[in-house]
Amino acid sequence: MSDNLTPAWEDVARHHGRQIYNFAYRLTGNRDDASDLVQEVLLRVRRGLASYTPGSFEGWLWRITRNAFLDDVRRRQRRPTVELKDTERSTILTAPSPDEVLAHVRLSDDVQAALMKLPVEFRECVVMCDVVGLTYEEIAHAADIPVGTVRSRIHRGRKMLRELLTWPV
Amino acid sequence: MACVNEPLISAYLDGALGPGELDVIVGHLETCPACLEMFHAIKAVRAAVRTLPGLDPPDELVDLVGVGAWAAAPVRRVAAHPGAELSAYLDGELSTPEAATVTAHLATCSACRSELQELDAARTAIRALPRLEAPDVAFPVRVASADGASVRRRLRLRYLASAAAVAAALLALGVLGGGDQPSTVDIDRLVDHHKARQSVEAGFGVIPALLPEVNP
Repeated sequence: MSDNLTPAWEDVARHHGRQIYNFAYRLTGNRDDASDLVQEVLLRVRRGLASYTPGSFEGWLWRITRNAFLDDVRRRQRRPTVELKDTERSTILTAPSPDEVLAHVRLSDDVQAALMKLPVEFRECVVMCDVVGLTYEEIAHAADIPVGTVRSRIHRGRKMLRELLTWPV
Repeated sequence: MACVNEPLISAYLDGALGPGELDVIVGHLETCPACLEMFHAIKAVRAAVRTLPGLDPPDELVDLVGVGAWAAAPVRRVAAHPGAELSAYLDGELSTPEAATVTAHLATCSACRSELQELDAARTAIRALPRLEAPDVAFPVRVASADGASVRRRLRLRYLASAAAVAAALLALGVLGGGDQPSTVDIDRLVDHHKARQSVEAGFGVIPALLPEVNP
């Protein structure tokens, strides 16, 4: 998508919806909350495009996504959450054996569970870096923090994940 | 108490260090076992998050939004040829969108497929090399001198930067065949190693489908 044009929100949904959903799922840990978050992001995009000035579209989009997530977290802090379990449907490029599928799903469940135990500010930085693939500068822009803070949050987040995950020798 | 250089490790893996810091951490990893251990642990954690499967959005959500089907994850950082990223691709260390970009490129570029195959063969050969005991004889004085140390450091830098460099070094040494000395690598064993690893390592499943054929 060109940075010089203001995109239509339908195009944003079509071309970025999948990535926003994956970002939302890795942050919230379940399908229903992720779906709610995607809808909220798309609503904000639709409203925000009226005042969008062409520039770094991706930076703008991830900032909206991240802010929508944080607003949701703040709302949730007032009511207890129930962790929902659901099955992931992965985008599989080839057809691995059932054993391989099972092993991978179990491993990815462990990683997802560990991600959910990270404090929000660490989780969002790790997910933006490793799931969305943003650079440290892009994350700094989206989260409105200095690049040095991004660096330390990613590192500390990964160290926490290391403690949470037990690695087979 | 963590080492002062330890916080550089993640940024080093993410290619987010400046040249000065890069020198610091590369030199430091050679001399600090605690940081080297942390480096490997963080590398494993990073790969685990990066290889989380890409998820399809629920049909209900796509229907609710009502703009038709959602496109595949957008392709970021479109490169003509992935080049150095092929090593990270093999190691399952690219983010999901980056890996998808490389996969799409490999499907249409035979040159990169060949490069990937060579890289994989080199990596298999390196992993299959037997562990060697250090010789009892004293190292030549030149190696222990400051000059020798800086040469070794530069070599290490290259090693860390690119598995392709290691492959080139192996080729130069004749380990992969050719040269004056006979090859010490059993090709059948090498292929077995590849297949065994393929069955247990995330990210390997995509390779056989893209490559024309693996030597029987």
